[in-house]
Amino acid sequence: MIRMRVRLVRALPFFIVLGVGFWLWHESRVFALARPGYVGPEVWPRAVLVLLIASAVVGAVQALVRGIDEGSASALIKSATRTVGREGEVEADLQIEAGDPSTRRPLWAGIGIVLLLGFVVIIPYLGFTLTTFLLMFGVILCAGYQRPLIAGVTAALGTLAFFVIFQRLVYVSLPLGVGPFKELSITLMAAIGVR
Amino acid sequence: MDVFLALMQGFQTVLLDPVNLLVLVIGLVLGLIVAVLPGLTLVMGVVLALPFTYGMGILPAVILLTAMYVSGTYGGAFTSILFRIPGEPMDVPLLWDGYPMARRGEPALALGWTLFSALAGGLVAATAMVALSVPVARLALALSTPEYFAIILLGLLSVVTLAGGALTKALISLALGLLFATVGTDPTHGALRYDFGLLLLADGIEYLLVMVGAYGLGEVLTRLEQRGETAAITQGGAIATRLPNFAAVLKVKWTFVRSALVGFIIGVIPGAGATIASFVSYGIEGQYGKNRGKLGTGIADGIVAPQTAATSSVGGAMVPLLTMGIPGSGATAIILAAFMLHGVQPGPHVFFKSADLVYAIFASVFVAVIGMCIIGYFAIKLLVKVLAFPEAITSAFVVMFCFMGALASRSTIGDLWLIAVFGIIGYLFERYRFPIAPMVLGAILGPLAESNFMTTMISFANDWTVFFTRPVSGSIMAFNVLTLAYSFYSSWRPKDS
Repeated sequence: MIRMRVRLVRALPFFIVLGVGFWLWHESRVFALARPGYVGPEVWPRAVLVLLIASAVVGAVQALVRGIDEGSASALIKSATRTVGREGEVEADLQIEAGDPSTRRPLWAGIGIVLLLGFVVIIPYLGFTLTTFLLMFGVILCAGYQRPLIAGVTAALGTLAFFVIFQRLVYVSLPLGVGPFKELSITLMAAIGVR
Repeated sequence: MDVFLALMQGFQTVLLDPVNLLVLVIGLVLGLIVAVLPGLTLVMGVVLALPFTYGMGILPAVILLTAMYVSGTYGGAFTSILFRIPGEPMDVPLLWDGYPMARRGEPALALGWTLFSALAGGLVAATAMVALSVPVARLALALSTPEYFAIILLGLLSVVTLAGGALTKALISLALGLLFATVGTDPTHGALRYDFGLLLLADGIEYLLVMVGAYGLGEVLTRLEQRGETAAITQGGAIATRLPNFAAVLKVKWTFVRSALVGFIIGVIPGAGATIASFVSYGIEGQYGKNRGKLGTGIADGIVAPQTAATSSVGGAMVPLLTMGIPGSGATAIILAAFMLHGVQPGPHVFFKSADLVYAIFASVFVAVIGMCIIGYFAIKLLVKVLAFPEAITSAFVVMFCFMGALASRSTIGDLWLIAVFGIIGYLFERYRFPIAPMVLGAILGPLAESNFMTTMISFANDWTVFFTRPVSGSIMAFNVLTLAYSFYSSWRPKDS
């Protein structure tokens, strides 16, 4: 029973892809050319969708029937390491820098996603500077840095650096925010000589 | 002789122009830092540098990214040998002989062997790159759209078959990348595809957002999941570089020749980069090397093989990029993006019509190889200190560099949404072991593949069999089909056979 559940979990991404594939196929009717015999704008996307759907079907079957979970190393790498008797070590060695995979905590990735999406949602209201500070501060703490004061100073300096780079080097117009936040952005821009 | 003169002209352009020389040095230092810095990979570093090239001319932009690519294949060796932390996946084989040599009390010699290998391998491959490019570009000139489509397909399928992990996942990744490229106005008929009534999607999805989001933000989210779990640093000895003597070099000459050849050839193959070159070269050494029995005990052959191949692969990867516009590795895919952002599609026409640009890039590879070794030799103590930099702070800056790349592209909030979405997709790909490279390459080469497909169909009265009946395209398509069929067969056959 547990084995079947593991297999279902492994097959789940393929089922999601399959659903997306059929949905996009359905949506391709919107721009399909209604002239038989002609190659319309739907032909290329549909050819790609055939590849997507077929791969998802095969992947789902493989996951359900054989419970396959391939490692992340390329076949050539596996073959090469097999010849020197290090096939078992390669996956572990590739993961050294990242640490032990068994200690993964998806909650922190979830918080990271909330931070990224939150940044995009609030940047039109709070403006670039304040939102950037909050995002950098949040990411530093979320990534496990234990000293909030240094994190705050780093985020403030980073925000200032990015603000200057955007305004003085790459000349990108930044969201200023609304109300008092707009005033803050304009004051900062004036301070670095941008009108 | 013409090639030689053009190359000399290229050296002049790189060395005597202060801007070109400055960006080259900056690129080398950044590449070395990125290779050492925890939480950053070489491809990710090159991706993050891409938005900074908007304001540059095409030559400095390509020189910057190429220099990062070259030095990124060398910098990771420092941490592999000294601390047993591979800076890049390509440096893993260096753990097996480089670290034992360092533990034996010879870290300086181990680092000397990597320097020799990177320098000699890089220069040999750069020479081969120049020699091979002209005939390949001449051949490419004779190709028509069916042949081009077949070659692009070959490139895409190579990435899929060599990406690692399950074949079906790589194919799904590729298909998604190709689909992202179809969003927006269709260039042949002008029809709006997959815009769902959103103005943001009607303009299409820039491949820059796909690659920066998936590689940059996706990697940061993956790192957040491993919060606080970074590798412990155990030093293997003093930090310095001591070059091997001539007699010792002569003893590994065949290892060097084999590895340079393997690295260059693997570099030319689209989709296979420095990592595969490094592992395959080590594997070949394990099978045919004179000292194969001692491999893994800390011998020079085990350092020379992976490092020579990794650096040689750069020269190989530049050949299909500059002659046909097909990237040979993840980093060259980003260099291709830099070309396209400046309105240039590399290929045989650019190769011959803008020869000054191409040969300046060639020259920059030679200068970069020598420059990285000089910087690596003198600044190694400083460079390895980067390893102590808190990963949390690196992550925060990477996130902002990614968003900066999105804003610098079209300056719209919509692009921030898109890059965040691709970041989440990149994280999910990492989580469920879907390779990212095929998706990125699909997004970059998708429009090129579609335009060649559509042009062929229109030119040959909607006859799709033309891809299989013309001699060159037919042969390449047959090879593509066989490669895919064999890959499927390999993924189904019992693993213990």
